[in-house]
Parts: sequence; structure tokens; C-alpha cells
Amino acid sequence: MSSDAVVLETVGLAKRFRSRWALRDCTLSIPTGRVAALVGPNGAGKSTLLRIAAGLTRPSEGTVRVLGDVPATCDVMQRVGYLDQDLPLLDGFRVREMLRFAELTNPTWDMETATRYITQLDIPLDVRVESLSGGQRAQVALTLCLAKQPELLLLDEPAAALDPVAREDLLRLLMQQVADHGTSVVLSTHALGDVVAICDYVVILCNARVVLSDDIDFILESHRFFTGLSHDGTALPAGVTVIDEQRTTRGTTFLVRVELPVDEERWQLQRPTLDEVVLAYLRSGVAGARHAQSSGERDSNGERR
Amino acid sequence: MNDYRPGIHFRLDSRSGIAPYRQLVDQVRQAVESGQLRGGDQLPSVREVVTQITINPNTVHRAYRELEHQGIAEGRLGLGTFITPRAGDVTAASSRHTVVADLKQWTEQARELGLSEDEMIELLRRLLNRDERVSS
Amino acid sequence: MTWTAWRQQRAQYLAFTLVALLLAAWMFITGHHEQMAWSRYLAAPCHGGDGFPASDNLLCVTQQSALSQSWFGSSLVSYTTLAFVPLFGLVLGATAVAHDLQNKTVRLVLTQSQSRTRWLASKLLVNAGALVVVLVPLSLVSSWWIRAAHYAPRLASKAFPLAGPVGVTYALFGFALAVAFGLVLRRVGWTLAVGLVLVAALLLNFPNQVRPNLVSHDVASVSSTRVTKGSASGFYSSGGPPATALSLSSAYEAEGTKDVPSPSSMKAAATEMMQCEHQESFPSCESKLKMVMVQIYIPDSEFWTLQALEGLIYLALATLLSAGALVGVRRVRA
Repeated sequence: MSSDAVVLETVGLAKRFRSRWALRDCTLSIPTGRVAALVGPNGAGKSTLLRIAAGLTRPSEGTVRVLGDVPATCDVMQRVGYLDQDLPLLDGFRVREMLRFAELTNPTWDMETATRYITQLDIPLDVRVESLSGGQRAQVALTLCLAKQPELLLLDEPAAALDPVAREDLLRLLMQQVADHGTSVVLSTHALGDVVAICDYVVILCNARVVLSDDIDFILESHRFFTGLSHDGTALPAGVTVIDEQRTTRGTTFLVRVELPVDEERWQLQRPTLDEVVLAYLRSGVAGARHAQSSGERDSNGERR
Repeated sequence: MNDYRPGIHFRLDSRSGIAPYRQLVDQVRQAVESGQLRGGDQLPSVREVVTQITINPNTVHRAYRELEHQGIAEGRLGLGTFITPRAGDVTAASSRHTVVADLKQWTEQARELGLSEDEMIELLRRLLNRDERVSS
Repeated sequence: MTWTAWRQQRAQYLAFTLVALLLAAWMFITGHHEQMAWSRYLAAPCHGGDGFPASDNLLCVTQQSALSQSWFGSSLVSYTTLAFVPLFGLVLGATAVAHDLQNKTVRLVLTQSQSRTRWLASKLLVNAGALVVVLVPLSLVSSWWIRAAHYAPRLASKAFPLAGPVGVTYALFGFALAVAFGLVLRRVGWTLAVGLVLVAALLLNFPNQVRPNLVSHDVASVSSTRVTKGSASGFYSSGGPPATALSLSSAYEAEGTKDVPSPSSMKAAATEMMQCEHQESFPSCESKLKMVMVQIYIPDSEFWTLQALEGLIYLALATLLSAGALVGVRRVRA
């Protein structure tokens, strides 16, 4: 697979439920080999985006391509694993029968690996899924996705309902899979702190729109705090876009995205942490969306608005 | 435990502003400098690190590549990543490099404050003398 | 996927098979019991109630009341079976699809490496198979029982579904309906409710509105004789269709014609017969006008034709609904 390969690509993707737009004008292009965090407040459209990518629902507008192909075709579904927020398992089935179900419906299923994952986690094979704890349920549901050897994993808030220990176990299982098979991962979360250690790519969704989508390293390189300036921001140099501003009595701190080189000696600059960048984008919300065309995206349409 | 491996136990501080791969590199360097790791010792495999600290495997790959680039580690195909024999020298050299760079920065700061060259030399000599007096 | 489809509904299959076995057992018992009672009643001395010596009065009356009591039991088992068969189909259909949509497990099954069409097709085939495997033997038992228990002529609406395999097609229709509505309504409860209403509406109206029109009819003339005994007098009618026939309606027509009267000729004849309204002797008025009363009926020989035609209609409906579901499943939001 070339390094230009893209695992998930959307252009102008939109989805409406009756009168509400769950996604609006969503354009992103996640490259292969990443562990991407899809961040945003509840209701921002993260679950909708993942479900569209998994082929469970159709977009109202726009296009989506998963591993270069239309979602929900048989070929694509073999190479993609999806884990829903509710961690659905079949009622009344035992764990062993869940594995059998996955074996029968996935030609690339690896039963040995699946059984190893389950037994390593001390989950008994003969217990019914209703009797599993929340963490065990998540592990089984994740194993069902992992053991079919997918190239891409789509995980909808996998750690949301779990206590810290169970969350750690789940993310470790996931990282072992990535280490062994180079799987690309897109996982959604409303708490970035839980997953920041494992992600190297971030997509921020706010008010049904993508406001930022890029490698974390690039984001940290291209954003700076300008501190101690006057309130109106006219003193800022050219080639920066303001994302957010924080006023104090001593002046205003601006978080900016830097597009042209800035003389770091002349200005009081600080490097933000990822949390601070994400928070700034979420705070500025739709206003940020106007400016935030990430220069990492190869958008051939040019400027929007 | 069937084979003894002088280990390094990585720790990750996701709250600090330092990139995760950088933290791993620094921890290996410190281990080499302190003698915890010596030439020929094997670094944990990517998978082992991932099992220890739930980190993105790409981060580990990157850190190990950086260590190779710096000459502190080397990958042996099929076997793993090992500390190079000259790693101790490399870290010492770059520590030296850091000390020199720090000194450069200090002289610039001193100059900005208005110290003359003679004043700076005097300051340095007094510090060294003080050290001598302490040690003697 | 067939294993999964079966395993998901295993509890329903077991429960309904159990009920079917119980119904079959009930029918065996009551059928044999009825058969015994009838053969005793028909044999000497009671001869089926067709004249017996006064000394056997008590015996024959007892036998007769035993027969009518067991007839009540027969009603119970027959109506239970009549309700059970389409209900089996409805419940399987509702739990096959609406259940997965309701508790969101559809998000698990549709993200495996198989198309939605294949998923639904497995469910359709496995469940149709289960219905056939359980209900065909049950229909064999029930058709034996109809004869053994002398329940009713097999063309009668309450006996017709039990006397042949057409009941299986009711269940298949109910199943396909519940699958199709399950895709749209996405809730087991609502699917069952809507399914019950629609299936009941069709099953209850079909015998009167559709079934008689599927085959041609026969006529048999009925003559009525005036009988006077002492001070009481009345009419005694004789002739008419055989006991095994399904009587539809009666009408007047000109003597000598043996055709089935058309609605217009029935109306004309009825108008003409109004002349006889206040006549003293109705029969003599009839013969003066050369009109004879006829009973329109469907003979027993049409039984298998009716079973086949009705079965095909229900199967066609089931096929249409299933095809619609297979097409529509691609657009369902999971």
C-alpha cells in the first residue's frame, strides 16, 4: 500500500435526520497507518460519521470512500471492523457462540487469535454474554472486530462506559493489534484525555462540521500561543489565523494557526499542548470552522466561503 | 522468566508538552548515561513496550529510529533493537554538545544584560575557583 | 449465516414445536375418542339415532350427549390450532427482523463480511423451512382428525384450513408480512400488532369473499312439502345438496333449468315469487309459476382445487412481501 493511501475519505458529507443535520459539509481524508481520534462534544456527529463509514446508514449528501471503496460492499466489509457504542452482542449467546458467529460470517476470521485474546483476558468461553461485566463485554465485542484481521477499525466511543482499568485493558489490546498488524484505527471520543496517548491523528467535529483534521505532530508544530498582547489582535503578524482568544487583565492570549513563518525571537510564543489546541477549536466552534482549513488536507477545491 | 534482559521500564507523561517519542528517546539516553543500559543490551520490542504502557506503536518505531539515527541503538533484522557499543560515547558527546550550547545561550543572555567579555570571564573564573576551594 | 439465524430464534422454534406437539397429541386423543363414540352411536341399537327401541332410550340419549360434549372439546382444539398456525408465522417473522433492529444488534450483524441481502435471505429460508417442517406434519394430523372427529364437512370455513395443507401457506404469509413490516416499523411489539390485525382481516374475510369465487358452483333443487300433524303444520324440505357440500345461498329459478342462476335472474325470480307472498298455499303457487327453489353450493369434489388455488394465492402474497423485503433491506438505516 503506498504511503499516499487513504483509509477514510469524505467530501462534503452530510446527513440529515428529519429536521436536524447530524453532519454538514464534512470533508476529511485520513491517511493509512494512523490511530486517529475523532473528537467532539456529544451530538457533534461522530457516531453518524462512523456509521456511514461502516455502511450502516447512507449519507444525505456528499461522498464517502473507505479503503478506496464504497462502504457496505462485501469486499470492504471484510477489511473493516466496526464497534458500536452500545457494544451489541447477540442475546442468549455464549461467548464461544459469539466467536462461532464471527467465524461463520467472516472468511478471514482467525479463531486461534480470537480464542487467545479471550482466554488471556480471563473471560470464560461458556458464559452467556448477559453475564459479562461492562469491561468484559467491551473486550469480547472488540475481539469480534480484531480477529477478522481488518485493515481499518472504526470504533465508536469504545472506552466510554468503562472504568479506568477496563479502559486500559481495552486500549492495550487495541495497540497490540496495531503493533502486530499495522491496522489503521479511527476511534471517536468525547474525552480526548482518555486516548491521547495512543493517537497520532486528530479530527475535530463541532456542530456537525469538521473544524480540524491532521497529524498531531503537524498540529503541534503549526499552532502557537501569542501571549501578553493587546486585546484587539491587530498587533499579530500576517500569516496567522486566530483560533481562540483568552482575555486576562494583563492582556489577551491568542491561539493561532501559523501559515507563514513567524520570527520566533520577536514574539512571545508558547507551544500549546494537544488538549489546549483541541479545547480552543471546540470553544470557537463554528466560528473556527470558517478559518480552519487544515493545510494538511489536499483540498483541490481551494478556499471555502 | 526464561532469559534475563536488563530492562528499561518506559513511562509516559501525556500531560507534559514533550512529544511521546521524544520522552522515550530521552529515557533511553538517560538509561545509557547512568549505565542502566550498556552496549549490546536489547531494547524491548515494540510489542513489549505497547503491552507495558499502552502507547501507539508508531511512536515506539519513531523513537527507535531516532535512537538509530543518533547512533545509540541499532536494529538487527529478525532479532530486535540493541544498544550500540559506542552509545555511551554518543550520549556523552551530545551531553557535551548540550553543555556547549547552554553556554552559548548564557553568553548571549549575559551580553544582552550588558556584561562585557572581561566581566563574563571573571565570573567564570570565580565560579571555577569557588569550586576548587570547595573541593580542596 | 444459517446457523446464526437458527440459533437466534432457537427458543421460539422449541416453544412453538412443543405447542404443535401438544396440539397433535390433543387431536390424537380427542380424535380417537370421537371415533369410538361415533361408531358406538352408529352401531346397534342406537343406529345413529335413527329409531331405536324405548328400552334403550337412556343409553342412546347418554351416547348422544357424550358426543355433543366431546364436540365442544373439538371446537376448542380446532380453534386453538386455527389461531396457532398463522401466529407461529407472525411471531417468527417479528422476531427475525424487528428484534435485531429494535435492540441494535443489527449494527453487529450488518458489519460482518456479508451483504444485507444474504443476511435477510438466510433468515427467510431458515424460518420458512422451520414453518414447513413443523406445520406440514401438524396438518396431516389435523386432516385425519377432521374425519375421525366428524367435526364438520371439510369445505366448512372452520374445517377447511385444518383439512389440508393450506394452513402452512397462512403461516408463511404471516411470516413474510411480519418480516416486511418489521423492516419498516423496527419494533417487535408494533410489528406483531399490525401483523395480527392484517392477517386476521385477511384470514377471516377470505372464506366468504374470495374462496367461493375460485371454483364453479352447482345447484340442487329443494322441494318443500307441507306437513300437517294435528293442529301443527309446517314445511318439510327435502332434496338439496349433499351433506359434504358447502352451501352458499338459495334462490328461485324456472323449473327445468339446471344452471347456476346469475344475480340478475335471481333478482327477477325473486320479484316474480313475490306474487306468492300472501297465497294460502305456497307450494301450489310455486308449481303454478313453474318456479323451483334451488340451493347453490360447492361440491366436495372441488376440495383439492380450492386448497391448491388458495394456497397459491397466499404463497404469492408471501413471495411478493419477501421480495419487497429483500429489496428494501438495502435502504434500511441500521
